[in-house]
Amino acid sequence: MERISSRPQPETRSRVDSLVDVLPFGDRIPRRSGDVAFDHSWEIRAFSMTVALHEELGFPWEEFQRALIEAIRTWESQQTDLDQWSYYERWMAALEQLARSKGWATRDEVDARAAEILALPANYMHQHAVREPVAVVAGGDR
Amino acid sequence: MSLEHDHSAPGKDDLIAARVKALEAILVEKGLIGSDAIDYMSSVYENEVGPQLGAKVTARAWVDADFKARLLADATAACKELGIGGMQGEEMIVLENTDEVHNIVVCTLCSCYPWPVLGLPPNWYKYPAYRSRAVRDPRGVMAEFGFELPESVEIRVWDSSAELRYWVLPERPEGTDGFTEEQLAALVTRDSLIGVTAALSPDAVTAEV
Repeated sequence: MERISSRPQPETRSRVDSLVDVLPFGDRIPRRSGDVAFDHSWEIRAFSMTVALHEELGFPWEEFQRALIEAIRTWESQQTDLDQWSYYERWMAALEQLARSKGWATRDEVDARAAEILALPANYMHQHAVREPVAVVAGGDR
Repeated sequence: MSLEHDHSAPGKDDLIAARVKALEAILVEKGLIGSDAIDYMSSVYENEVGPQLGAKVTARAWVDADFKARLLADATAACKELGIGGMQGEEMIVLENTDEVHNIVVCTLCSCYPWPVLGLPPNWYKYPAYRSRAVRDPRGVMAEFGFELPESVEIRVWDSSAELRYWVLPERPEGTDGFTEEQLAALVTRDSLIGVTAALSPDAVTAEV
């Protein structure tokens, strides 16, 4: 990253939009003011990981679409309370399925790494409140 | 899923967040994908998750001096008045920008961020380049965002942590007398709530009156 304030290219935006447009159960994608919206940081991370894999590795987007349809159907067939629906939970299930079928990551690998992550307290390096500024640049004429 | 809320056990979101992190770590280690490629893709929509709530709180503080006083005294409680919560007991402090002092927020170690108010943090918030440069050269960082802060203004850099999260109350822009809260909120950007820029001037926004 050369500049902190760098922004994505406009053509990336339209490319990602077109991937979203063909997703299954598109009417259930959470949106705000028409735009794709996320409530948790893991949701946008799972989303962008999938799009980045598609772009970098070149697997057909249809493969992810199929995995997502499968993940949603499987879940619905097992649930009695459909209000518990979360698009991005199904999304992650589909991505894990894709990762297994492609040989990118096994279930055991993900289970083991997730357990390691959960064993660390959240923000374990950064618990203490810092009540004074960490830096002050005095104003004044130079 | 249990309805009980047990703070000692990870919740459903913690569990799935850990799986997402785990999968990313594995894919990156295997060289299948770079974190920077994932960052880049998430930057496409990160603004859509934006600071609508922080903007709403800021606009209220600009028009209602009593609310502003309450916000600066206890941000968590003041946000709750507007129905904004979810901080799970974490303390939140709002820093007021004035003619003399400009505040900027950083998390020097990770990416502690008041997401219930500001939405998702932008990718650059967690880049080492931002974390270190905001402390060393905050004026230079602001300039990169196109914001030229007058030399006469003191800059204070604040470190958000898991226990105490900061955000900035920007100055109300000139030329906004008589603006409604909604019009004012449209001038408040996420970047201005982090302190890397000021709020937008009304000229910069297409007037839809």
